Amino acid sequence: MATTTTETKMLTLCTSDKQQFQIEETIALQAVTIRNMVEDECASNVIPLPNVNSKIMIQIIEYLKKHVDSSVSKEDMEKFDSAFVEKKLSEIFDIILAANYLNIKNLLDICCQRVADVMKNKSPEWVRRTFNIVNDFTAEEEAKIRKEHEWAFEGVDED
Amino acid sequence: MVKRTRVLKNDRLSRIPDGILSQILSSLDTKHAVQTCILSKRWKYLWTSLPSLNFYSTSFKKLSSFNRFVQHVLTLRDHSVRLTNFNFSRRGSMNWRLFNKVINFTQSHNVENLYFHFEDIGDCGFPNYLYSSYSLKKLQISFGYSQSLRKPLYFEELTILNLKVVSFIKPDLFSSCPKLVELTIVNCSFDLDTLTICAPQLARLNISYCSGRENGCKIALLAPKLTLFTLDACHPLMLSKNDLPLVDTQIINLHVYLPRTPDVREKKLTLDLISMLHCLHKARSVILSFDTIESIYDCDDLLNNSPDAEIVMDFPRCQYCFFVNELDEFANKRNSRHTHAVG
Repeated sequence: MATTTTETKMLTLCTSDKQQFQIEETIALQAVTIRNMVEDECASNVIPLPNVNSKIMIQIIEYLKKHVDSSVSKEDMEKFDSAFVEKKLSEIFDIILAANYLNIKNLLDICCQRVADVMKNKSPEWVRRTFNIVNDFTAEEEAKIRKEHEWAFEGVDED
Repeated sequence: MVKRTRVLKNDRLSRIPDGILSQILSSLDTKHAVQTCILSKRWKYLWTSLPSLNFYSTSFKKLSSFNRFVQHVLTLRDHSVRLTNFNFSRRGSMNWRLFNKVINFTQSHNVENLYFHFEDIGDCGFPNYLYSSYSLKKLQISFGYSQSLRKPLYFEELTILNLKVVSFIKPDLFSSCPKLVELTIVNCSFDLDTLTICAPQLARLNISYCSGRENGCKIALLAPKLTLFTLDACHPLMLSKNDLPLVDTQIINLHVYLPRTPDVREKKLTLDLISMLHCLHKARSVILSFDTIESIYDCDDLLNNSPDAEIVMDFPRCQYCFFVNELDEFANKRNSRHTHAVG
């Protein structure tokens, strides 16, 4: 490991629950939203992130720390990514919201892919139940839509 | 094993913006994406604005249902939304009306990434659109029955091209694809004497499971930026020595496979392989399959009489040589018999 004589520039991130995280600037700047704040000089040393809580921030920092490391091979990075998204769906959705707000494209992509993998080859009823989607159609409305789209429902598998 | 997925406690999805839901639906089979229309009012029209469409006939028991599905989606989709990715795979012999509709649709939407697999395009013929486009960046075409490329390709923006089960009959196909970085040719046949691969930006070339004419097809490889060259399960290619102006930073990985049939033809193949290695002797790294090595060692007499023999394993810039597959077996054989110096 090479040691640098120049002092590493640090940034402080402040989450919605008022927790402060000190991280190296190079790590934080991978988030386009933070980069823009720093470049526009509209942030002092403490960057407020009112849309991210500390629990999610810890995970996002873990992700950013890995991805800033250029010595990690492509295969190892893919392994890290697939292990990283092995989380509960609720957490994945929280990370999606945070990654969208912080504008970290690759993180958003792998989390969306994780959700898609869960939905793959599942019936709409399964998706509705698993994602707890409130069905605001009346029974008649739903039957009508299903009939209008019957061309998409050939041989639907049960769960 | 069935993996249990926990049910979300509250409707977390409702906080996710539509754009992200579209991204999630985009990586699903479009059949399943459309089916989300019955989830709730919010989801009713989400599928109409997906940036990617994925049609696979394997998701339908009947081809007629698949055809109907594709026609409906293409008609009902919101045409103001940009379509970037289009994946289409269909078994059986292609219905020309659907074929024209699909081709016109992808062309008029300036799709960037296109994957087509047609088991049998019958009389439909290779469409002009697949010879020339301003928008395509990544193109993968695959056929069940071989189709000939009858004209050179004109793709200004294309960076990745993947051809499967295609017959090459024109000598120079790629020189009008100035941005081509990755070229993959699988299960193709080279029905010509010389194929020129002239691509100034080409970095990765993969030729696998291809066959040429009885006396071999000569490949003129004009690719100064080539860094990775994989040849798998093919006869050796006849390269021209001066076509590869290798620079120091280049690394070439070569994985040649020779069928090990004990006949006269194999001797010619071995000689071809030796002269191919000769052409690539500036490579920084070489991967040779066990079969390849063994073929060379089986022909001791050939090596002794060949003027190129000295060069077989002499890669002056090579930092390392890999021998993939059955390393131990190779090592044993090496120890038990007279061998030529390696590396």
